[in-house]
Amino acid sequence: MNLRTTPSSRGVLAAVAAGALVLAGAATAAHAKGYMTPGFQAKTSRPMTLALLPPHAEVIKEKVVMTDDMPKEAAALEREAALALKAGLEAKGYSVRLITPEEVQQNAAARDLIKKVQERYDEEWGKILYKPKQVRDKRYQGGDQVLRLCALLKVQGLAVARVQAVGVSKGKATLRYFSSSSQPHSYARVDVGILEGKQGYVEAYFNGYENTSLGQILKKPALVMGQASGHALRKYPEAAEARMVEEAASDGDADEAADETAIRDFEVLTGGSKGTGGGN
Amino acid sequence: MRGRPYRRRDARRPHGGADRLVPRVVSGLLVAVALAQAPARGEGEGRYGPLEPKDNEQVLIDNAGAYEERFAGRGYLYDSTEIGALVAAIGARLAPRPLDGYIRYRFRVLRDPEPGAFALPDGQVYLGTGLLAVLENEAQVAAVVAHEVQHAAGHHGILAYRSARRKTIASFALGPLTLGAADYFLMRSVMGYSRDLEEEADARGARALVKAGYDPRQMPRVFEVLLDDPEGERPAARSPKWSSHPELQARVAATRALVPGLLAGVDTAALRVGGDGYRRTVRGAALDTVRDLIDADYPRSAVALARRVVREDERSARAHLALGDALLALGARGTLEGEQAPTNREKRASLRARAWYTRSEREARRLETGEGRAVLDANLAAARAAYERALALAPDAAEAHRGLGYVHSNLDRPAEAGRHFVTYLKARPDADDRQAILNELKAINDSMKKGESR
Repeated sequence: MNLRTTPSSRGVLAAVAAGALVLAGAATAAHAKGYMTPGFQAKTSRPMTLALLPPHAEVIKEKVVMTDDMPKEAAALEREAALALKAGLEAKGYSVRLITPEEVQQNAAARDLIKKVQERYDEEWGKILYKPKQVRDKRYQGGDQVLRLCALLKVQGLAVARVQAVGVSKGKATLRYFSSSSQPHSYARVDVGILEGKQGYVEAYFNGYENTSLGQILKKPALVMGQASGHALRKYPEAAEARMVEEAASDGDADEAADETAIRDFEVLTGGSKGTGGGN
Repeated sequence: MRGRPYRRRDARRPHGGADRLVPRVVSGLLVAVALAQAPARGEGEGRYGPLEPKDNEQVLIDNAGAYEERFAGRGYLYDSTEIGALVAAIGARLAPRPLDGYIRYRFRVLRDPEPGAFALPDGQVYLGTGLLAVLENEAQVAAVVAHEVQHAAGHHGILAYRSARRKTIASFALGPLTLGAADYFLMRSVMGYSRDLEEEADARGARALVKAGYDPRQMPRVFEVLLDDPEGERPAARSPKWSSHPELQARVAATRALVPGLLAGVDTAALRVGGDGYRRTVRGAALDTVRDLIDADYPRSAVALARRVVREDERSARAHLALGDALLALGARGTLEGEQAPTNREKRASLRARAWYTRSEREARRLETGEGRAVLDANLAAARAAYERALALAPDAAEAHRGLGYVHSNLDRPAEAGRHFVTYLKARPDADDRQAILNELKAINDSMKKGESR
């Protein structure tokens, strides 16, 4: 093998090195993080049946002059993220019911609850982003709406997803390159929160991040969402997997029989009280 | 490579080129002074004839269609035939004939407890349930619709985008020359332009209001209604120059000043206001808004609205139930009624706490003080009275038992709480909040088993 470097071969070697750097960059340009309560890890408060609410996506196109919000492209990412997350969770052994925007429109009973769960999750998500580790301490609550919606949809928990995609246009990238400010950066990120249906806590939170390009965000939403969702679910435990965590012993006693005997137990404790005489 | 231009310059002028800095600063200051004179106002003005969007503006029209789908798909649209018909009828009276192919007026109601409204460039006009719930009559709704219609008819969205784009390009050129000062004036000018368009929409909207037979005196009243801040969490803008909308007080004064001219030669007795009928129509939406305010953790606003609905219909058990739920949701928070209004600093502190701490953490902090505990007791007593009134009006209102269960639970009376919860669960076996109540009951059973009950 001739290793002498001629001008042309140096060019080839430089190209190969650059390619390797790009590949290395790509390898580190994706990440996955997950935070779970002890009960979630030990399966005592981990929902096995989930309703996946329609993801909310935001797509920003950074141009030289203005920054555009792209709701149409966001809708495409929402669709693809939902499909990718459903497939990913099912592959791990969970039963997933996908709630589509069409179902939200048609199901009047669920509509308001879904909207309120999403809004309450947004409120908590704003705090989770700053202190995700505190998910482990059950700091974040979805409220009674979570319990109501789970009862209505007959599932043990809810999966709520948020998608953020930022695409930098070529003009903006070039301008930033020459103005020597921070590197231009297109990316897609998928965040997934799991809300448990008996107490309403955010039991787990995962996120996946993938460096991408504006072209891929716009033209290949399935690919981009498949990658980012795959990263987000990487640390999600398999349905059969139960990690023994000490704190989980007192965590999440999701026992349906105990729920339904609560009325009888109370009446026994209070000497056969028949309630307050109201109702019908 | 990104640092190369600086290296080159430094190599040529090792001490930073101070001889060039002085003329740059001087020229920068001159440009800054010139800019400071120019954009004191944005000088925004709508165009009420046809307007063809430029290529880069077409995205605004396309996005408007996508938002329409988004609002429906996320369940934001409010489901009430009667209110939908009312808003559509008002809109039909106020909307001009569209002169552009991309404008088609349609008027919708969003389920949103915030008192707000907006228009999109393709003629969609949205009003929130929170706004309809606090307005006093049909003419006030018409005033809001008239204002929003002017935004679409005058192409304000497109023109504001166009203006901001032009100014951003100018700031690219002037930014380095003015050492960044151009960015400050850019933002000030963009905000000024937006405020000008708002003022124009107010003035033209008021004229359209009279033309459609509505009383224009209701327009300043809308801004007075919006000034009300029962939550105490709306600080005034640090400077009106940094706001996209004129201050509400200024809008009250400006629209009030327009009224005499608008009413000249008009038979004021024939102008439509539509008070009582309107409040009856929106009563259901007002009660839904009370629930939404509670769920969004705005209980002071919920109490204020619920009290108003109770005043309007003292015999409604549903209204008393809503008031009980709102008072219960207050927890250790006092209402601001009769209190000195919080300062801007306190309002901002409250907003920061909302952003940083969870609901239960904030409530725990309030309960750390004796004052907080006393406020909680007072709120629970008021909630109990509201639930008992609801039961007196409608003995089968099982939801009042649920509320009383929570009241007693908070007062550490588990036996009474449990009895009310059991009554509720038996009366509403299929209630969607069954799990939440069972959780409460199980906690009561556990505490009674441990002998902690009194």
